[in-house]
Amino acid sequence: MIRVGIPRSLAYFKYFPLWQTFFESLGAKVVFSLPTNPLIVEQGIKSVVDEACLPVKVYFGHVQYLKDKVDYIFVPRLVSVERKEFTCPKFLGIPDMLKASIPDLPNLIAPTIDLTKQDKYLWKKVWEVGRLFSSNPLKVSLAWQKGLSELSTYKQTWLEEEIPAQLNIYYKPTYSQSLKVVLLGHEYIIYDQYLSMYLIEKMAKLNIKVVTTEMLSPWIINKEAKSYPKRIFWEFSKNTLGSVFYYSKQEEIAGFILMSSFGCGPDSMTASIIQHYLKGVKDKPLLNLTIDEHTGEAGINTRLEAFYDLLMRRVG
Amino acid sequence: MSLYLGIDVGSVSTNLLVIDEEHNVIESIYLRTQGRPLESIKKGLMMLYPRLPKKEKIAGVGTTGSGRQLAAFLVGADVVKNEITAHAVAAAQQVPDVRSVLEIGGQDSKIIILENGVVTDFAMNTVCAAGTGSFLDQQAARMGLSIQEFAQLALQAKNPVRIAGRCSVFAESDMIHKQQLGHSLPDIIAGLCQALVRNYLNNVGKGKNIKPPVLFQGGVAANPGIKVAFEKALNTEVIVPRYFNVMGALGAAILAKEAIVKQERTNFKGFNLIESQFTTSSFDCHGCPNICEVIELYIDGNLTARWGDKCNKWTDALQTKVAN
Repeated sequence: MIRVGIPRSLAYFKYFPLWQTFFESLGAKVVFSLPTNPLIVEQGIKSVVDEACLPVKVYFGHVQYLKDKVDYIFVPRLVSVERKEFTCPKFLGIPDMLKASIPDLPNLIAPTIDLTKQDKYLWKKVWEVGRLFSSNPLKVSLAWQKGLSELSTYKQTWLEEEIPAQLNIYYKPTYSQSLKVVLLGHEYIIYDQYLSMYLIEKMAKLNIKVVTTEMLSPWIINKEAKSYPKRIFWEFSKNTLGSVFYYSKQEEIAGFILMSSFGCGPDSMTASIIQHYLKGVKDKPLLNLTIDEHTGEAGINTRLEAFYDLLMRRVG
Repeated sequence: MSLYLGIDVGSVSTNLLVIDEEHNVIESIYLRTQGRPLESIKKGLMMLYPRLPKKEKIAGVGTTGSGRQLAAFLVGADVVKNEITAHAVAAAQQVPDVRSVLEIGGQDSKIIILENGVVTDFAMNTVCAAGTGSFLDQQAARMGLSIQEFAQLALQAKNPVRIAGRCSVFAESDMIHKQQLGHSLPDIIAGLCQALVRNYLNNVGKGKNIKPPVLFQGGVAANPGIKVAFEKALNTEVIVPRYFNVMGALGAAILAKEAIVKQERTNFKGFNLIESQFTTSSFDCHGCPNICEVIELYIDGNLTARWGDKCNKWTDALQTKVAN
């Protein structure tokens, strides 16, 4: 059986049900890397250029983990996943960076996904990957449809304000009377337990109900994002701002927490816009958290606890 | 009369402060942590004990600062509070109508905005510790000055030079460059103070509504050069409260008093602690790929507390052992 490795990092958090089902339906065995741990981080830091942000470094660690365990590693080059919107430039270069930095890699499956072009283009890409496993276009198409349906189930769970069980995050507050706080940040940071220093679990322990961008339908996000005077062409920034605009109008939202990685280009803009916007909104405080390679949790704990005290004193 | 003890274990200093029922400060101690928090807590208790009125008892203990958990395990605390809340509580007690608190400590800098004594907004420096007390310490040491001399020199400046304050590594190279060009020491030091303030306001203070009365506290508030630079930049009077360098401990003591109202008796282990030997050791748990660093606290050779494991495996094991 052909083994396909999928790094449990970056776009994994958004698309893994699609990828996993697709490859499995084509008869491949999917191997995920372990959830991020200190060894993976260390491996990543060793193998990548030092200017990369922490999540990219960690991605390299996940690839290192998979390297000798599989026949292929799936590392899609995500250029654009929605029309006229783009992902971060570092995403674009990942397959090339991997090839240049890690010797003896197994074959990479690295289709370029650029949906700025027409819809038909996507099928071409699906076929490009699928034919490595089957010469039957119908079988590939069926696998793709099955994957899409898994993805939509996954997304549906989010819309019900739940964090899918596959992510293995304890997020339910102890008591029903809880504060509702919006957690903003890249999926690959806030749902990566190790990178986020268990932020969601810490919030749950403080009896905070976490809501996130993923829990809003694209329809709401796109509608809200349009109220921004300029078209936002970074896909992540658009989603984040759309959800900030939406949640800031909801009375039950007690505040916002934004977690980003040190040195993140798109976030430097997004964070400023959010800060500026929320300053004008009454009673919606914002907490900014930055992560980097350090593992001391004291800083995050202090800020989170102080933010909680602030919210509690407001609620009274 | 009952007394309340606040302990603030920071990166640079360990502070102990005792208040009475009316929030009067009975005694306060400011010590350098010097990388040895356990020893400095013990030393603080040793210094504090003879200075306290003999008849009075400690009725409650609060800990704060980055070493608050460690301190809490050690002395038996009734309340463990983050330093932002502790600082805000202390500031509001000292200057009841305070609206902005600028706090610069050893490795942290923060800003707290209050309305009617309640925190409405705050920010802390991010991962970078540029422009905090540790950096001033280092620079003073590099010039062979005590931090007190360093602070006084800043006030003698006639024409402060411009120093890059964004990063302490850059600031240091900038200062060396200016010094080799022949600028006077006071001008360079005053320039550094301004750079630090500029960096603080652009970074921590970004987007915050800084309104008077403004309080400036934390260890760096001992430095009049920084106070003057703040006043110039904010164009308003900046108050350095009397207990500026032990405000966290004051806040912890006040919070301890509040906590003790709700609970019957204190968890404080008593001053006998100073005769005990504290040691810590740590090990990496290889039970899962997280490889947590587990820390163990021994009092007189007995394992008393454990922490650092994410799954609580080691913490719980010890608690069960103690319970049996």
